[in-house]
Amino acid sequence: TLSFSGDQEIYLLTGSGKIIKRLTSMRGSDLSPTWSPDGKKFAFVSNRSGSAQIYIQDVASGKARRLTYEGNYNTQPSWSPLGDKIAFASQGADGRHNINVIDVESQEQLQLTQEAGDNEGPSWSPDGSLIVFSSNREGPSRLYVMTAFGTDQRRLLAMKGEQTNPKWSMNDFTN
Amino acid sequence: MFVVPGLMFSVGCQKKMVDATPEPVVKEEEPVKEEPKEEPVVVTPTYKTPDIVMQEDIYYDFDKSTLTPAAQDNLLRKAEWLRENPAATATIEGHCDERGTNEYNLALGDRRAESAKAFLADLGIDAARLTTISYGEERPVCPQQSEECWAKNRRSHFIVN
Repeated sequence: TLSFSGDQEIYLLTGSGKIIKRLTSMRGSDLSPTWSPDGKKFAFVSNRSGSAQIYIQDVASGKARRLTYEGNYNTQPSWSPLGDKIAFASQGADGRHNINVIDVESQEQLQLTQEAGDNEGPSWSPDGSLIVFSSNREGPSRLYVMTAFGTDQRRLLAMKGEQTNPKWSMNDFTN
Repeated sequence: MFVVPGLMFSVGCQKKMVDATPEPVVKEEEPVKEEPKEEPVVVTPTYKTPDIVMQEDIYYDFDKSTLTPAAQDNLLRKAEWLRENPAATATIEGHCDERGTNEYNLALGDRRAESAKAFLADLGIDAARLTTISYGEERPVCPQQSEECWAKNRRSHFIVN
């Protein structure tokens, strides 16, 4: 997201930071883009409807459609490498954030964390079977990992200070 | 008997001639002051130290970067100070309360700082004098989880350079 035009918009850049084109132009902030695995679409957060919601936009046509309709604060989308689901942080009526997963086609939504503080910043493993995220369920924000269905949630590590916004590397280190 | 009213008439009409020239005002002589010895001229900085008005934060509603009437009033006074101190520049920090996700709050803090800057620019302050930065939810002034504290954290803070 860049805001030099006066509004926060999403841009397509080269690896060295040169702007190829501007992707969004609606009034309202557009941020946190995440690529689809085939690189043809991206999901992002926009408050163009009045609240923070997740949209999917096609790069070629520029057409966007809204993905989330439940809750009024849905942010930090991460597109699964398998292409079918998007994980994101959703704020509930109790004010807490929880990791939710939504099916891209059917828009069926599933809440993966509950009653465990604030859970934010989800990121998929390269094979789409695990999700890493940050949670303050024990006090300071730490990194946790769970399966794509929300089971087996466990803390990954605890360092000084707070840990947030993890991103799973797509590199395969086993070769 | 006919003559008498005529006489009275003429007396009644006679205008008095008034001397309208102003009397000269007598000025009291001021005591002669002794000229002070000439002191060496000291060049002072071209702006006064930041007034209280620049130190006051402005506040925002939840998930909003729009300026409340109270914020606008405060910015009007800040604009006055900036006009009177044309050499001064300022950094506007945008902050959020801790409830949102920190990525989203970085963007919200940016919008808050930018909305304050745009308001000042519209009042005629050169935008080149103002820089903005967002700290998102990372630097709260109040740590408790209460609406009272959260309201204090949703702010723009000005630093005069």
